[in-house]
Amino acid sequence: MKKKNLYIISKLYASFLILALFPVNEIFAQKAEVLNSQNDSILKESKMIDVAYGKQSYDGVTSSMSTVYSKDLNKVTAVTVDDALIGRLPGLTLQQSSGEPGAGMGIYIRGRNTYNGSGPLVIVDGFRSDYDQLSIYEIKSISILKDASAVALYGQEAANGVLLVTTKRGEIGETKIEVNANFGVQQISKKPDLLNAKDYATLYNQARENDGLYEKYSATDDIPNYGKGGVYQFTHPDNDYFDECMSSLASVATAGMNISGGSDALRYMVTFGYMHNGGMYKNTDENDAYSTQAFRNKYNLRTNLDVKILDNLTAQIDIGGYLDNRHYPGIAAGNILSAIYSTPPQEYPIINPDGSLGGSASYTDNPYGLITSKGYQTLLSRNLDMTLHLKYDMGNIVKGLALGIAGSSQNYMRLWDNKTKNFATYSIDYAPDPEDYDPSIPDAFAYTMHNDDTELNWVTAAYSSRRMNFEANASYDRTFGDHSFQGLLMYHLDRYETSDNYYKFSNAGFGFRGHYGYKSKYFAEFTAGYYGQEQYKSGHRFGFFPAGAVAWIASKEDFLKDNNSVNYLKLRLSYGIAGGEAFGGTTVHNRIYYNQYYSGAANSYFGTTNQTAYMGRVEGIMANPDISWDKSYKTDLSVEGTFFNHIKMMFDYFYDRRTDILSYDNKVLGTIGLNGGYNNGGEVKNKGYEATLSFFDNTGDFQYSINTGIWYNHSEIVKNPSATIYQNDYRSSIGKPVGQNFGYVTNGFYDAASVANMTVIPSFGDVQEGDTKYEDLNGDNVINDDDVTSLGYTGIPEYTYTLGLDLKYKKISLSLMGQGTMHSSYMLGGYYIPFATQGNAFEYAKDSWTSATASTAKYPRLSSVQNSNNNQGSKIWLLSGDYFRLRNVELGYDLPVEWASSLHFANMKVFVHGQNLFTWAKDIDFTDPETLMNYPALKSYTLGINLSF
Amino acid sequence: MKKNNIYIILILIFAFGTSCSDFLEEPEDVAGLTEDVVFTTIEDAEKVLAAAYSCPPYGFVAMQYNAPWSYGILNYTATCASLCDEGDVATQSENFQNTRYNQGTLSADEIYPWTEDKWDFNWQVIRSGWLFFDNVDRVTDGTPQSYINKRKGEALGMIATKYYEMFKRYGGLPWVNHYIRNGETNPKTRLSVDASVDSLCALIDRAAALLPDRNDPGEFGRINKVAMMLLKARTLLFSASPLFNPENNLSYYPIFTADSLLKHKVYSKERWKDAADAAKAALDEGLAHGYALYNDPAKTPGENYKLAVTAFPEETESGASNNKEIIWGTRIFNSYAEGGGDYRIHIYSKSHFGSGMAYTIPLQNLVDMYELKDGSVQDDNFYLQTDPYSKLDARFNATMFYHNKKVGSFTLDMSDGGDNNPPSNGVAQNFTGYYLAKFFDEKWVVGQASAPKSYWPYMRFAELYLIYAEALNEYNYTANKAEIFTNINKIRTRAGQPNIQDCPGFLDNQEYVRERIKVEREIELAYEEQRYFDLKRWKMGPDYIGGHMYGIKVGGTASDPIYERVPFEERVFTDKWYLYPLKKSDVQLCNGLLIQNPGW
Repeated sequence: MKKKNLYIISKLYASFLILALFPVNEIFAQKAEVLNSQNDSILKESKMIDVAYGKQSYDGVTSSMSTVYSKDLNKVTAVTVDDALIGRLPGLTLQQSSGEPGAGMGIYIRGRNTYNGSGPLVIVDGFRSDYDQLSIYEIKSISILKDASAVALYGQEAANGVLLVTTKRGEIGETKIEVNANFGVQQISKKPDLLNAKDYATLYNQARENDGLYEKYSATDDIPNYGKGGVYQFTHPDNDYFDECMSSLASVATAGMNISGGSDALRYMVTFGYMHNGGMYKNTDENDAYSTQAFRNKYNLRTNLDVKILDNLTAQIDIGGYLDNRHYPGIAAGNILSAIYSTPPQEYPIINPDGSLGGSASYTDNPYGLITSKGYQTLLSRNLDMTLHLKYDMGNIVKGLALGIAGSSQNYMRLWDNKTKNFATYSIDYAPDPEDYDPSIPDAFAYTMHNDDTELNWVTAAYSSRRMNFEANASYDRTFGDHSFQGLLMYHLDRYETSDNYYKFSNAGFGFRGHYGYKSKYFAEFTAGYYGQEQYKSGHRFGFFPAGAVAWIASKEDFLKDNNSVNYLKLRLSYGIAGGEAFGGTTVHNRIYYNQYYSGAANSYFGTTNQTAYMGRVEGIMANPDISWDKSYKTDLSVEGTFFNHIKMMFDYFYDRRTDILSYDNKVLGTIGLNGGYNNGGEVKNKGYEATLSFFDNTGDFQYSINTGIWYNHSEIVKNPSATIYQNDYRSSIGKPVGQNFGYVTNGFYDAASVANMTVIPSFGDVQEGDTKYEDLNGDNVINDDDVTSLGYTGIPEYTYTLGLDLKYKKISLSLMGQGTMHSSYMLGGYYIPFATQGNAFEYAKDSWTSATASTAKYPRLSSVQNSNNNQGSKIWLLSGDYFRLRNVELGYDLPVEWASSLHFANMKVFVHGQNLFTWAKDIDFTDPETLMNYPALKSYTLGINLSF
Repeated sequence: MKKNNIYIILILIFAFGTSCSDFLEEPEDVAGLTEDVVFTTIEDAEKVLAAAYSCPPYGFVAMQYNAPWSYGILNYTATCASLCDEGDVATQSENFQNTRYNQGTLSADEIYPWTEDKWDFNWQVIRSGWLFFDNVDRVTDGTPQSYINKRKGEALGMIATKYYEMFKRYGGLPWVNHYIRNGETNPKTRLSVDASVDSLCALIDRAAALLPDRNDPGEFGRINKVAMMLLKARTLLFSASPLFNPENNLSYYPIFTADSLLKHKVYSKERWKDAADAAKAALDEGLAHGYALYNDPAKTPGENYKLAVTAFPEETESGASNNKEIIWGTRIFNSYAEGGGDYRIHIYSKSHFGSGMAYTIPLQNLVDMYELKDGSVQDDNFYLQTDPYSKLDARFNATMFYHNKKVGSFTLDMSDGGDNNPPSNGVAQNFTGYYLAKFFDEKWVVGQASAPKSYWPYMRFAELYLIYAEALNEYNYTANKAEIFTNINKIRTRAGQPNIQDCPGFLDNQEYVRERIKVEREIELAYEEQRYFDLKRWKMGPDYIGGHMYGIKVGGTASDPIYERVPFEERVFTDKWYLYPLKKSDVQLCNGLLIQNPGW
């Protein structure tokens, strides 16, 4: 034992010695790697970067892309890959709208450059795939490819950008085992501020009074009795449905084991991944045979092999698969949450005195019942990916030439198993004097049943999809003195089929890339795709997508070579065309329009005794044989560098003009006798930038870096054939960003004088004091749709910014990352307008207009009936979506090597993770600013360990 | 050997390239049907024709939101009759446009999409018709040419029918004379009235030449040759009438410069002759092929009149009828669909309906037009006598439900508070003291038996006599009066009324006969979607489409009622209403080529 310790200590000293002997900047580089791989350009000089269908040296990359590596991905307790990507990739915007286990996020690369589908193309290890089912531990890196040069090889579907995922592969050496385990608890990030029973009843009475109706809840007999206990807990309950339904803690765990190593002949990487994401519902074990909790368990297994078959023939054999088991209550989260938000707090006791579920004629969805008594659903997904790459090195004939073929198959199955039922609720009536209440006599209550109890009803739905890929390529890579050449010619077939429609989604085509470098300083690249898709008419299927790019490593020039203030400087420019898929749809009427469709018309009847109808057949919408793909003309300009040995910066500007966007043209003459059709008449401009700046230093045992980033995009619809034409520009969606919010401009509230002297008449019905007054923008003295204008921003933020801090002192490390957004807007409507849907209201209902608060009120008078005037989308209801979250905190401790090795580990680190620990929101402070009324966003605290041996 | 490898791989890559296009083919059945597939068998091809037939002329209001059927004009429960002095709609609501129509304040925006004329659907029928006509010869299943020609005639007939119906409403329109293929431009400019009449008549002649005189058994509801000849007579009558052929050669909207859209270029009296000739040709052709007035000697005149519009022309399951009068009847339902959205006729009954329902209610203005049985007209004191209704033309009893009338086992009580007088509270009800009986099967009373099958009598033989008489009278009364009397008396005789020359107050001049023909036409064709357009072509809009409308109030006791003629409402008619507005968005999209009718 002692001997061993001694040995370790001597090894340790030896390493310190070696470190000490190294040139300072090399140490620096290594430390920098530890600190931050994301922006480390010094380090990356020697690194190979995964690009489309290949690798390039960091210097040689001429296209715009951002990459995040597993080290950073692992700083997050990620139940989905999306969780780990938030704030990590400049240019990537993620929107989380639900915290439910299994819920995905909206994902946008550089915002939206079309009003059609904006999701990026996802490539995993060279082929189209899904990324969010992968285990975080099997991923080596994730990149977003942003400009035309980066995506050209992907042809017709690349205009929204590409998300490129690369999985880990083995390296030559002894078997290495790395274990990561991470477990802890999740909590609701922000409990919504709903009214309690007293406030609800008071404000609802106020609303009734405003409407000229008698008060519904007596100020003497009802309001003082809410939450009083005794019989009042049944006759005058004060329910906090949120607390009754949502628990304070749920479990979360992720774990992964990587086994890798190998020889020249065979290298391997085997990953096992596990993820458990618990649900936040309470009372889910009320049924004997099953739970109604929401949760998700996922198991991933991947084997990536690199085999040297012959001296010049190598193979990559990859098999990856997963089991994804999700479990939910018998009704969707949206319905449960909606019941929580829309049931008044005093409507009925959640549980009646006899143990039955409370209910009333108007509110039969007892939230507690929805969780406990609707049965349950399971969603079982299984997937198996198999890939084979063969590479034949022709170096002995033509030096630098290699030929390859590859094939892959993905097979996905999903079983949706619903075992659901309905439940009865009962409203109760208590006649005797409350003073005489005796809890032992439940008969004192009269019960009225609403809905029925039913048995579990079993429904199963299956879905499957499969994708087949074939690829053949020839690559060339050679350096002659100062000149380096890289070439790639490839051929690709991709077919995707699903069980729920007829179509075979097929892509086929060629790609070419030529890359030239001179003195490792000047680089030029030409890339082109020639791709076809099945959704266009034969003869019109193939499009050509060229892109060119140049890069210059200025810091390698003589005049900067030994400059101490400029350590690294790279300039880059690219321009090209990327293609955008026309129809993303999968059903008969939204995929193929080059041929005419016919559909059934209304029936005809002939004869007098004949009862059967003659079926009619009419043309569907007008066919358009010329339908083509969108074209995205992308310009990209960037500069990046390292200065004063302490500062790194990157700035990337882009301008994107997307033309020929597929649009439904509804402006078709009625005299044609047909409905409108699709054409390529749309155009959107999109521009913006990504910028990152970091500062790093190390002083002895203390190392730190501060990283900031901001990215911005702003789109503008130039043409849209389906947009309604308005007389006034302010009303039109043309010239505004994709998804712009619209509404009325408000001008305070009506007072008695302005109601008496109405010069401008709203078209929503009569108004009274306290109703919202709108601006008559077109001056026609009527408030109607013509006075609606653009307000605020779109629903997707224009700015995302991040702020990160990494500290390391001796063996202790601390990493913080916060992320925020700016320039997004949310228009409150429906439920968010107090009492508009007869539900409970948020605390802000107290800021509504009353005659006493007329001058300070934020919102119009409350109303218990549909108040068409006040419920219009307007400036009053428009909120900023700005928020800032402390996304990840990691506090880690590297255990002394002797401890680790005494347990036969080479390395051992323990850490705590915290996620979403702090949230600030500019306007949306009454609930979570991202998930609003949906299943709430979560924060988590986990304890983790990382071992390698 | 290694070199060979390269070649092999290069050849392979080349081969991949050529296989690309096959790889991207979708199976034909999911990539849309080609015309060749649609027109392979006659059975498939006829589906295209059936689509055209699915929007037949249909006067009842059928409440099917997305079906190309009748929506009623201006609101979805009002029949065409409610637009003029024939009637109104019982239920009033702010959602119903007929209130604003009656006030004359509807704008072109508000008329669409609930228009009675179904602009979009009309053009769909025209497109479907041409699609069928231009392509049906491609069928390869050995269907005999005679069969194909018959169906082609029907396709042309549906197109012509739609153009006629639109001509009545809009004047001249863009003329589509073939199936417009993708990439072709649709005609945007409107034909003049002259060209419209010529084109329409030529199209009708083309259709007639292909069609049989009568439909085969089981093909009731399809178009035949006599129907086309009647359509031609209708077209020419409209063309000859003052609206499009004003004697002073001034259009109804003189300040509108594009007046060729509103009237013939030059007034010509000869147009009446054309109309008379067309009517005569249709009459002769019809008589030669078994069409006739329904006139069963075993039945009363009132029964015969009613059966003429309700009895099927063929044997039905119940063994009824054999109605020779129907030239073209159209069906969209199997039967009355009580509660199923068919709002044609209802009687309000407290004892049978808890709440109000929408129905067409007749106006006193029309009741005033009925002659007495002796051929005299009603005088001012007519309703002061006892049991006045029993003295009217038998067709009144067949057309109206009125106070104290027996319907099955019920006796209708229209008095204030009576079982059939709807309350004025709750859903606002209009009530004039009458319900519509004409298409109502009296054997069928709510709760009894199943609903009878029915059809819309779009063309009946009686109309030909009326067209012929009117056109002859306008062309030359003196020379043709014997022929005029003979024809008009055929209608009167069937109704049990004396000959026109024998009526009290008869005057031997064109004006008197003109007035009697107008009344005869209304009494005979009441509620058959004729009156509203007749009033327009006679340019009688202000006083009859607009003007004072009346109802009857029943007081006194049940056995001794007192009838009082009471004002119902006052309606406003302005000249712009002589022609409907074209669909506004089409006018806008055509950038001035498609000219909007004046006043809109």
